[in-house]
Amino acid sequence: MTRRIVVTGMGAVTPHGDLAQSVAAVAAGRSAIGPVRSFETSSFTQTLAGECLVFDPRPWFRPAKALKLTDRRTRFAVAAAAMAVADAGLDAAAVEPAGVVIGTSGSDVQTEDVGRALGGPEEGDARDIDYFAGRVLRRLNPLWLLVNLANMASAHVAIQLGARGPNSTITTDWIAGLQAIGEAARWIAGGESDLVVAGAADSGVLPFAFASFEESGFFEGGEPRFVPGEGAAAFVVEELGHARARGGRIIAEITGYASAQGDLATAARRSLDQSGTAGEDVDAVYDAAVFTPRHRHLDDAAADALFTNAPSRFECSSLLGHALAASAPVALAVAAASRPPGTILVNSVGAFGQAASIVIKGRVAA
Amino acid sequence: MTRRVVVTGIGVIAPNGRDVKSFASALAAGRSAVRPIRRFATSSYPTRIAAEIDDFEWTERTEPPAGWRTFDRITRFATAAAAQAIADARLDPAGLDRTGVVIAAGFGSYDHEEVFTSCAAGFGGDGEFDWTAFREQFRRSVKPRPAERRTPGSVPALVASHFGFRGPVMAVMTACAAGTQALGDGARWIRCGDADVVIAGGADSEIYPMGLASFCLLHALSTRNDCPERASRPFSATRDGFVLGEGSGVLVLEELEHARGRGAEIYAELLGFGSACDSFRVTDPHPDGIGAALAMKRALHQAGLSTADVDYVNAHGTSTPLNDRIESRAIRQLFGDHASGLAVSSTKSMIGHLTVAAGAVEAIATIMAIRENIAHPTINLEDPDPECDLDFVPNRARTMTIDVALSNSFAFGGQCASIAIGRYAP
Amino acid sequence: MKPLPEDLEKSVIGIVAEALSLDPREVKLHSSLMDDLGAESIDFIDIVFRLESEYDLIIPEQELWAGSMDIDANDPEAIERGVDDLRRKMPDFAWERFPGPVGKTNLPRLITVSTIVDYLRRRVDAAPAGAS
Repeated sequence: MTRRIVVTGMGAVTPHGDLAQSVAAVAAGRSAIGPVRSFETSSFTQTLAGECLVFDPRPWFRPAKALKLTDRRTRFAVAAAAMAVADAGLDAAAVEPAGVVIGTSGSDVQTEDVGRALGGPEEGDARDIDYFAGRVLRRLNPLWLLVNLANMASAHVAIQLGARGPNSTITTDWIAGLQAIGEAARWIAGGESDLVVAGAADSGVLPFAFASFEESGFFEGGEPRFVPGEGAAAFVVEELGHARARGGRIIAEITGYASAQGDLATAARRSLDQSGTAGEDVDAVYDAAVFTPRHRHLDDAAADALFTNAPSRFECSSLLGHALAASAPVALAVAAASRPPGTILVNSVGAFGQAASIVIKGRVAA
Repeated sequence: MTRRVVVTGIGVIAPNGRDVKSFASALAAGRSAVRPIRRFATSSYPTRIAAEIDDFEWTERTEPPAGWRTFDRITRFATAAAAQAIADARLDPAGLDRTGVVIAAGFGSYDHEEVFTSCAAGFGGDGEFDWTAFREQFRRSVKPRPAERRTPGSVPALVASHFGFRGPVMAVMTACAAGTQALGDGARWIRCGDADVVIAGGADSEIYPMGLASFCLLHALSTRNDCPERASRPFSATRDGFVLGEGSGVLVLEELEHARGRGAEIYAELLGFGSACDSFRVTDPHPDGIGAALAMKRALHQAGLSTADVDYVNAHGTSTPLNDRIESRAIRQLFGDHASGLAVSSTKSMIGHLTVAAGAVEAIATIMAIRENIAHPTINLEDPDPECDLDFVPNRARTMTIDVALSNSFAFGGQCASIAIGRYAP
Repeated sequence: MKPLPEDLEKSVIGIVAEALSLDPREVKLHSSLMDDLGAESIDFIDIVFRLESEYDLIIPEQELWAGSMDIDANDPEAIERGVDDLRRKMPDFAWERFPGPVGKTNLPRLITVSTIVDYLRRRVDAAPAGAS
């Protein structure tokens, strides 16, 4: 018998605050984009971003020293996951067997810490390995690796929640977040878990991210210009019977998920087929779009093949910035929390042509 | 109806062999591949040894992927091992819509010059970071073409694009558990019907200046520089940390009927996968090895097997003081009386720790153990630790029937993964 | 190595408290870093790094911890003799944690803030006069 998969809790960290604040801001068309504060961007073509300036990670970490092992992504992930678990009304006993899967596009290198350890170019040449190693081994924070490992996001979420179920971190570039939610659905479908905390956390408001965007042409190409963002979204993904048995509030059903190499239309088609959803039954589409000529997304031809009508498109990265792997999951959470119940298709594409799609239905049949 | 998952192709690029045959025979011979590091100057490091792969060039029979020369080491290892596995499986690489790719791709291998000269350029010495200098140096040193800019998610995408696979694609990064995780994820896609064939594995190299430094900073590595071949000594009383290795292992996983339908040779069956988290601390394992035991238990549960069915365990066995003690405890606790009848060995005793690739390469060692009925040894085990009280197949390979085996991988972060592999029987 | 601050105890307590995100008032000289202050293995690495940066010295791996008891940690009898010495030196330590022999794997649990202070003082004494 097929196990049906539902969403029973949601949480988010965005430049606007938590999920409720984000939903309100997006509904009002309020932008969170402003000048970058965490580092100086005047020498870049883009100086703006959606930055989580009001976010305070301290309430979400116990013991307090756990924070020293975290970067921004991990902090966002832990907060969003805790919010989702609270939203789902789960207690510690219910969370103990839960799985955790977080998608993120990568990690930063703690630019300032490394620069400080190495010293300026007048002190020595970082290409000279004897000099480099001497400096790093004596002066760099010894916990540097643990701060930067991508899997720390799902590790810290599990530690803070006390979750001992299956645990994974997915890093398929910008599709990683949507993929984490879809793979969580597979864990449940295959019987490996009944309940998974799944989501994404990412930041494009980091020095190397900005420098790479600039060099890769993301900031070119007129208006609207690509605006990096950051944040997280987390979902409690649960087997329908499990959710009903504990009296959980059912927000939506995940009815389709697919990833594919090279072609978003393929991923979208597979998701819709799995969902048993005809193109014309889709009420809204979200594309985690990037506005550069090199990163074209679901183009008009592909859309024509999928949809006979033109479903409404919704968009929130112009208000929040593009939070890389977290962009599509944040949009999914905002959409699921703010729209009248309907069928939503969310798409995401990575820089190397990776594509993922998810279909959720707000009307959950008995 | 349950879809069964079998292995129909193997590719391996390891410090002790660049194809499955030489890899398996080097393991059975009990030879260490650990040597002084040759690729860069190590005089400033407390650890100056590793299991490296020298002079790595494309030697597969098929054409290298476009841009091979510009690939970083991890992408090179992954694409070469994938090409080997695909050729071994005699897969028709053209137009396979239902073939997926899941690769655990290493976290490091930064472009040293690009990253670290930029960081250094920003440090002006007056306490203020000079972001303009940072940005200018990055512009000077950056290698902008996409093929050269490896991202955490680029490796499976490049493998899929090169071979024309259009099925699901994913990168997983649960650090040192990731190689095993990727195999479990690939098997799940087949079971759930997302794919009929999955190219699954891991590739990593942490043997580069910052990689080596970052593990040295954590005091995680052996400093037995004067006798490299004896430095990786899992379960011995005198172990003092792990030794880095590098390489890639890639398997072709296939749905059984699909494999039979095209007359494929079957190496073994993936019977079950288990994942768990210690949910305890970031580096210290739970004192009772909760995550490790849960992962093994879940792998056996999915396989429909009991602990008594297991003949052999390919241990995580890193040679760090804590891991080996806790893993031994977890195995003893889970297997009870049967623990004494188990053969347990550590591939890392010979090729070091392939970090993100470890689980994939060790699964291949496990498959070959089943195929050839040889448990490879744990070498350098002359002085067993009384707190590690299992049969670790010390120092010499053992001929024995192995029908069912587990392969374990555990990570910083507490992620634990275990995979159950069995002899294929129709 | 720089001259140690006059109130070395306070300085070390400050470093330990910062590394473990604790209120310095919670950190006592006889606090076991592991049992009382919640330090795990990476915290020891972090604390050593902070001590090295603050006092401008290099602390060889294991020296700080072995130094509190000048013994062969592989000899169980030597361990217990060293522990007896410590019992006299650290009466405020919560010795009831160890009703039986302490044993090699438990040695890190004996590391207190005083262990660090004593180590630093010994390093200063051992440094040649006039060396910076």
